Amino acid sequence: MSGFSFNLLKTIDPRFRLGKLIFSRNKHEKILDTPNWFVYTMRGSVPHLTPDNLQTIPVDALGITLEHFLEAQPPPSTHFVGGIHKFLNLEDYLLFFDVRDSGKLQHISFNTDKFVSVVTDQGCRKVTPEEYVRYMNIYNPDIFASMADLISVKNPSLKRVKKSVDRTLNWLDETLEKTEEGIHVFGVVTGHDRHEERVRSAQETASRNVAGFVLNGLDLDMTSKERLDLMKISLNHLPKNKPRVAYGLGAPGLTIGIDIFDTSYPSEETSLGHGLTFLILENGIQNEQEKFINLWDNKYRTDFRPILDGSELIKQLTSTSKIKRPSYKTIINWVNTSWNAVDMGLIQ
Amino acid sequence: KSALTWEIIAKCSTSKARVGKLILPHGPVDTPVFMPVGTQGTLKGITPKQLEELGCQIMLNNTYHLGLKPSQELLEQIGGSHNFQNWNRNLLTDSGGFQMVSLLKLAKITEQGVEFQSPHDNESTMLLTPEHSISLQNSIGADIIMQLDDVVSSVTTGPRVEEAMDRSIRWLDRCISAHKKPDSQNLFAIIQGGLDMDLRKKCVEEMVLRDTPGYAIGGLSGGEEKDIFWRVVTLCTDLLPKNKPIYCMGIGYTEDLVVCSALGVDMYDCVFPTRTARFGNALTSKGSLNLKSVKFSKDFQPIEKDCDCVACKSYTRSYIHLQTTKETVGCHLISLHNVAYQLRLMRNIRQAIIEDRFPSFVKQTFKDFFGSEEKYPVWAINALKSVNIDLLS
Ligand SMILES: [Zn+2]
Ligand SMILES: [Zn+2]
Repeated sequence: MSGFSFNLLKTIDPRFRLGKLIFSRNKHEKILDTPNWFVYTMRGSVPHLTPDNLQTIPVDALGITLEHFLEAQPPPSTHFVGGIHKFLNLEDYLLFFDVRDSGKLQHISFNTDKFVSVVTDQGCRKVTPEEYVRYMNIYNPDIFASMADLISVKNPSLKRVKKSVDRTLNWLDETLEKTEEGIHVFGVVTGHDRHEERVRSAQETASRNVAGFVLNGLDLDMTSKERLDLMKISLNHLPKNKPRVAYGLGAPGLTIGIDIFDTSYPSEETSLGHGLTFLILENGIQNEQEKFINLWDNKYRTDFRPILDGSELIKQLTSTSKIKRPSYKTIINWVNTSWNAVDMGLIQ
Repeated sequence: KSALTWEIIAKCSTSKARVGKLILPHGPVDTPVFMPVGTQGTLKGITPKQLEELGCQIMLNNTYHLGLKPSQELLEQIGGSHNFQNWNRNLLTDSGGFQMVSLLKLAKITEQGVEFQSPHDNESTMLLTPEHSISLQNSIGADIIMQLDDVVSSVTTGPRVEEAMDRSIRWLDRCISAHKKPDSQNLFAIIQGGLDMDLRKKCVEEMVLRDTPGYAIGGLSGGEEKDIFWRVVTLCTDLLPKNKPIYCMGIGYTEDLVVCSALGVDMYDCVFPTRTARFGNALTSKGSLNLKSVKFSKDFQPIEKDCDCVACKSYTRSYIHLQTTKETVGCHLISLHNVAYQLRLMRNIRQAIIEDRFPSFVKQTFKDFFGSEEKYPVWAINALKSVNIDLLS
């Protein structure tokens, strides 16, 4: 059981939103300042970080993917008494569940009116909305996204897009009816590349008793500009006072009114050996020309400086501009192929 | 010359087991001690801070790997491996010779040193001499460094074994004269001589004359008969001076650690606990668990009930089963537990010796670990009997 509310503190035109997501964990009230991230996980763990190391990074909320647990059904963890927070040793964190991986949408098989196809290491699995809600009621996460019929073919027909919107809405109704109290449901807004269907999906979802919205950019196989434009259509028809989560967008999402992002971006960069070195300041992104350093590059062999000397850099920057968001979080997670050391850092 | 002090603080009244306090340049080491292996200046997936919190007082680094990367030049620049890896406790480095012989197929040993094909271009040959090994180890700056020895496989027989033993003595002399930092680094000799008791005896006699700060028993744990292995170990601990620490190289299994401690060995190292973690194997006092196995998918107990490592305090076997071999976190957690297990085993050995109840501790450990007496290895029964511990009584 967890309390949950969202306060929109400030908007600059409809697009830039500053808010607070208030939730309670372990009898403590916690605040997730937005814009913010759900930290990306694999099989319910933050890649490479043991829990003591995770604690050294100021993380409050994690995104968990059901797909990663579905090799066996029901997942063995549904037999664990005490909920998913305890099973994953994440009792102080806000946990947000979705069926599919927010970092990649791997097409495997078709969805039907009854189920969604998902990818596991053991191959394709099917999951029905009824099963999904049952698992969520056992896991008892803070929030989960209702099941969505995402389209994984290129240029779908209008008929297919309509079917996707209808299925997603039907599943949302079933989900809202069966979800136990204290677990909050976010509705997934679909409509693919059809203007009128995006509007219909947004309006219909908004008319239901959802706690927030999810926009998934991963099924839109197009440029990020086109993707942003399509998402904007949906956002125009959503109420302002509920939080919006988006997948598959980087920093530009900030400019269309998204409150929470997934962090597949830093995870991806980490797996390439990239240590992020940029800061977001009042007047834009600093270090844009060098957003990261490639730690696999031989030139860093003899570089004895830290990945980012925060204090030095901030001193340098504050003389010319003010740092507005002092808690911009970046996990610098250095996993070098050969040394395999884990180095975490926080840029403030 | 020596940069250590060594004091025996307790002795078992039955066996040859002993507890010592070794003071090295980077702090104290309680012996008998197990040294985890951080090949390239890190234990895979474990931060130096985590290792410190586990109570690890000394770690082993491989000279061969550090010499390749980050390289001697770089280690000189940054002031040694302690600085490079941000580890303020003790380090021990091997000579690099064993790694070359075992990793590089075309290594050839001559009186000059170990000749090997360059790993950089695979064409030119390079030579690791005793002088070069010591120079590398001086740059790395470990608290204990090892002589370059002529290693033959422990199953080799014939004149090659004697040649290797004699050469190791000559190379020890070259290492001693090449050693530039005897004030801050302790050079240990390595006893060779294969499985031949006379050669071992001769080697000990010669090397003891060199009066190094400590001694290692080398050339073992290479697939030899265990019943001969323990006889070599006990011969060496009998002959070596009682006022120097004794290090048996490449030892890390639970039963080996217990038996060798009973025979009077003070230090051990092995890649086993961290390597086996990568395959999903967790060590426990009741034997090892392969957490990849589906039977753990709904097992909601910790790996080991009384373990206070991060893995056992935070997670069930079911969770680790979900991660293991798929996510690095699974391997990190099992590595952490396995290192915690080894360090706890050594702590329990020391405590039992201090309280002079080591024989009953040994019996209980075997009982827990093997379950029934039929499963006790015969060599271990024999070895322990030689120091008056009767496992079967
Ligand atoms: Zn950092
Ligand atoms: Zn443990």
